[in-house]
Amino acid sequence: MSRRLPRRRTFRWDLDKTYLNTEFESLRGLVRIPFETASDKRAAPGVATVIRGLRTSAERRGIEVRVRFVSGSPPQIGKAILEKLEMDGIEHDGVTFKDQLGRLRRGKFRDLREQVGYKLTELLRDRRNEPAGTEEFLFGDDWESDPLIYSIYADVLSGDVGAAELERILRELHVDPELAVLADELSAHLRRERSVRRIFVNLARRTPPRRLAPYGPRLVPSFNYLQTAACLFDDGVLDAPFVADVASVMMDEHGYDSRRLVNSLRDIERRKQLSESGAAVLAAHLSRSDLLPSASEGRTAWRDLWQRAQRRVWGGPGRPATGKADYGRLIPGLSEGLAAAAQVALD
Amino acid sequence: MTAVPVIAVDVMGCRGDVRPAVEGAAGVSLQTDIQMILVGSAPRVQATLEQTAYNPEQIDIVDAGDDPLGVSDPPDRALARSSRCSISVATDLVAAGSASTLVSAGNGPALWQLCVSRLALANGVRRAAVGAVFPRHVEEQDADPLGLILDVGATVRCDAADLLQFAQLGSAYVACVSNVAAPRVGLLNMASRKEAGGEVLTAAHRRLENDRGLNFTGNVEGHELISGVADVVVCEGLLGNVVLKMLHGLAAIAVDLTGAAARRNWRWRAGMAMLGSGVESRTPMVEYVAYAGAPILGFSAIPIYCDPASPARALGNAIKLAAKVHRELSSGDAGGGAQRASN
Repeated sequence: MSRRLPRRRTFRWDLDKTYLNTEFESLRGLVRIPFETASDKRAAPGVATVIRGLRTSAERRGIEVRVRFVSGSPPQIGKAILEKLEMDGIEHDGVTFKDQLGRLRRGKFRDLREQVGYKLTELLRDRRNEPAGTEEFLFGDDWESDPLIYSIYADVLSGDVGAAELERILRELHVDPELAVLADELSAHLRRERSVRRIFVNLARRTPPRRLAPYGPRLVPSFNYLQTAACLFDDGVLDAPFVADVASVMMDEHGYDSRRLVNSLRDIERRKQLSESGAAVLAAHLSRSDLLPSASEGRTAWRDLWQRAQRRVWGGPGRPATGKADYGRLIPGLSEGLAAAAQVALD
Repeated sequence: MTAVPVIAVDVMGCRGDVRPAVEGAAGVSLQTDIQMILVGSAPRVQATLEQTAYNPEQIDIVDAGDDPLGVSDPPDRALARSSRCSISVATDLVAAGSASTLVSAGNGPALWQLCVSRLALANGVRRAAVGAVFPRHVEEQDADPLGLILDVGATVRCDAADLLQFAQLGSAYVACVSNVAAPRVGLLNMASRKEAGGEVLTAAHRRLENDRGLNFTGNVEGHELISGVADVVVCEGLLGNVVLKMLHGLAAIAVDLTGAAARRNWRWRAGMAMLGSGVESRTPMVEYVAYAGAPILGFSAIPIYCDPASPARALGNAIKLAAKVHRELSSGDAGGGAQRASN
């Protein structure tokens, strides 16, 4: 079925473990973060190329683009992060930091580590600035609660999660009642539309992909940014040359070889996140760019042309991406973990 | 720089259960840079993989159907069902150069026959040999608690030249696996005298003694086998096979006796419980079959064979072992020892 091109496309990114390979799993890494300069910070291989490519691919089709970052980091380290984004050539429309000091002053100790209430309200707040018909792509990681936050956000926007259910979910997750009320108020004034097309989760922790199945087909667990780029290509939002650029950066700057790239593409295809035809087109394109072995070249030359012709009109064949997350399966287990995390922060 | 090894893993080997091999390989993908090709029922492998933590950049899957060769199936069946038999497809990947070597916990005789029919012998090697590891007593803390015995069934009757070559192959292998510069080599015999055991063993003794590349320690008698006097023990296939199976039987009896003692009365049970962690730390010694892979030596690649009851950890270890052997031998001389024998 054909898909009309949106007027605006917004890409929302998490920072730590999604854009940046921040090391906060070790005490040493944690201690180092406040003292890091922009040049100390390491972006995940290929991520900057993906962001730049997404903008250019959309603008070529006359689509207005917004790139927003929402981070759980405090604004005190914001300078280094903003400089890093500039160094990487990332044009963005703002970074939201978490005001940890303000929370401390207000005695909101539980909110220091809790992310659901904070991020969800920030996302909903920012959504008010989007015109009707804006489509969104969300990027997070498996380190904290991004899959859950993004899914709730998407389902609130689509109307699949109503006010009563949102209240129950946030209560189950022990979200600060003030933030829960705020989330309810913000969502009440939003237009209901299926705006979130895809949620990408960078598997920085190597979470088994099957564990993310309850979030539904809209969520794509991805092991690296070649996989993410391939899926975005399949969705018709990233042009093939940018996927090749991602592969090239991974090879030239991060020591990847063609076998690791081929394995990555085959994995995402086997997991049915990348269509067979999309994989074939990409394989041919990457072979022509001398990034992959030529074994797969010519496999579907005619399909390549057909597909490209389609893309110009439709913006890609698209895979099924709708479907509400299964909160019944997700929350009983998650609520304990989040409550424990909040308790740790209190202690 | 040596290229990253690519290990073909027959994932259907563990009596058709893909979980141990897939989980073992997934673990290796997170700990090392080893590349793996998992050969078996692609849908089952994929479903299992997605439930475990893994690095997709190091794992590929090759489909070989869902009808694995049984452990006791005739080996000919593997040759007849080439494209639908995981052990056969894995061997073909090695033969075609797509994989450096393979790991299988499947049908041992079939693996041997496939190696014979599909893989080339290493330069200078007359006959390949099947090795097996056995537990032994070691004094030093960091010494390898397992010794290598070969041949254990590939060549039923051997001449002196075969035994010399087995010693050279085994010595080269142990030197690379155990980091022992000059592994001690023993000839399994009925007495320590040079002339013991008949014409073939006497001639073999002489040739082993004269080979300056070997650290030959003389004849090894049955009771010395597990006392750690040699790192490599050579013998003809018939004798090696009998010894190996007897060791398996003894290990099984040891496990049974311990369990029976614990069930017999509460004092012994309490004693066993107090010894718990100590007993557990020695478990690999008793259940060594499930913790170590055995090499097939003499071909252009060195396949590693594991027991069909191997857990994921053992298969992961076998994959690392196969990669280590490939790295060491491809940077040095794989058949170096054997080459000397042919000259």
